[in-house]
Amino acid sequence: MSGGARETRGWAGRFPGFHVLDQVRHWDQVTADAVLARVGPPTAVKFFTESEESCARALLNLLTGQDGRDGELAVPVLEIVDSRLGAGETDGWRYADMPEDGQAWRDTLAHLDADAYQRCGTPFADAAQTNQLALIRAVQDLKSADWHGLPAAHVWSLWTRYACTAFYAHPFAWAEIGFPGPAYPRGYTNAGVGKLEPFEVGDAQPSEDPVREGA
Amino acid sequence: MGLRDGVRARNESAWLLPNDGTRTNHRLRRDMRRFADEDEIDLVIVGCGAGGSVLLQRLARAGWRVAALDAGPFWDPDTDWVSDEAGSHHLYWTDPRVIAGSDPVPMGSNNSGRGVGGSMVHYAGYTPRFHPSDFATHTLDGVGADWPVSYPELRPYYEQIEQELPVAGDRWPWGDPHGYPHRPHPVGGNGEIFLRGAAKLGIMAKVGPVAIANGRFGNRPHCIYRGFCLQGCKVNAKASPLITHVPDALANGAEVRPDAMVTQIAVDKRTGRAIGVHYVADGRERFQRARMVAVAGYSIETPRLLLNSASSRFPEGLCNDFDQVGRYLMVQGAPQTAGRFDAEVRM
Repeated sequence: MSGGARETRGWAGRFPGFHVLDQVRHWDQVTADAVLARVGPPTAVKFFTESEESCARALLNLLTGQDGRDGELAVPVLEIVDSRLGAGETDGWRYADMPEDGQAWRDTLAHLDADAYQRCGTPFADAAQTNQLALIRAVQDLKSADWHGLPAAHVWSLWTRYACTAFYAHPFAWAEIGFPGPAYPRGYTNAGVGKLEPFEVGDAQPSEDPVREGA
Repeated sequence: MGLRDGVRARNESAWLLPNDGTRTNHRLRRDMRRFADEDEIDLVIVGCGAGGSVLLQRLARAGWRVAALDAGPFWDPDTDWVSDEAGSHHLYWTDPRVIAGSDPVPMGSNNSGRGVGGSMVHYAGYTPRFHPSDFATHTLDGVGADWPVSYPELRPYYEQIEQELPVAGDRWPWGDPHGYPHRPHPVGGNGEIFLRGAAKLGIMAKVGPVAIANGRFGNRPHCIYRGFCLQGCKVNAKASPLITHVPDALANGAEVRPDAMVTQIAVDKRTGRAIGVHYVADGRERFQRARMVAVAGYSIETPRLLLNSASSRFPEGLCNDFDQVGRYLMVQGAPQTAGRFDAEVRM
């Protein structure tokens, strides 16, 4: 592709030589426009305040595994979530025991900062990564129990829904899992186990399981 | 008369679509009949999806003066839809809803449609018939409620709609055995693994029915296995009423009024009969007069509209004399099993 943008994450080598954006010329224009809009420079943060932004950035990068392993971010998850909240683009529902999504994000980021102050005397964004992990794991482990007046499971659902939707909307995340993205008007011709399209690349590390228990 | 001639004789939609690689008959939409709000039409339909569009098409053919209002747009697959999940958010009904209770069901992004074609625009295409016993689960199994209709009463309608969509699948050997108009589609990696496992265990398994043409159907092309059925079919291969019933409805003098959100059904205080619908279009409140009103707004918005239409004559909302509106809501279960295999398995 033009512009030189490339996947930068450590797992991009799992499908060697495979770059989703090399296929843009095979996509219909409407789809290409929608996808390419995501790989340009991230939009300015508008919804989150400055302190919310740092907290949310640290949280979202941890949740999507973009915690600085390579020193460079592939997917600007914070900016994508910010723009979605700014536009009020919700999933169309919320739990009765949670505020509207935008307010729920503001409230839960404040609670996360409060927890961080209590544990390490700093905002969440400035805490050491081990502490950050412990703080969010504590929320996950509460399951449906109360966390600052909210059911922790519903907070966890809010965070992970927004994080995953934003992350996997980005072509660099598709490259990491070997997903070639849009296929119109080309389509697929080789359905079936172990079969690939000519433009696909096989998994070079099939025995490596990034989500294996205890990995 | 062959099967295909029979379908075309009662529903010409697939032949009214363009065959030049574009997906929308713009002239049909431009020349569409348009009723005035003041016209007392025979029937106004709320919702232009799976139910409303078929009703619209059938009654237009029968000579009724009929219009269907939909809250969302009149889609053009070429320009409005993309092969991309995040870019398809606008297909869903995302008006704010609050879910509660001990086991709340998430709504919106995956179970209600918005726009002409309704939720069939973004459903996966699976079209099994009910099993004959499904209609009497209370009597037979002591659970749920019995339906007021039986399978034999519905069978001819199943057959008609399966021809018009059309449906592709293996011959179905269970319940009331039946075939489908199109042969089954080849399965992807997941299906192949499932069929292999079932064969090994001696369990009969079949490729289920989907409303996706397997071969040309009228001017609709065959499926190209694009993988984005749930984001609106840009190919016109997967059925939604946008292409299976609306074109024929328009050709027979029906009106489809997109971007028109019905807010209340009006009834005559004295007779108790419906007289039209209040709706909002372009930010303005309007009222369409009609002799009758049909509500086809899916399992969430239909009861909501009936309850929102409460009046002094019907204080509990419309059709709700027995407190049944909005009850017995069920969602489709979708059990999934995951495992690791030697070879990479793709959809």
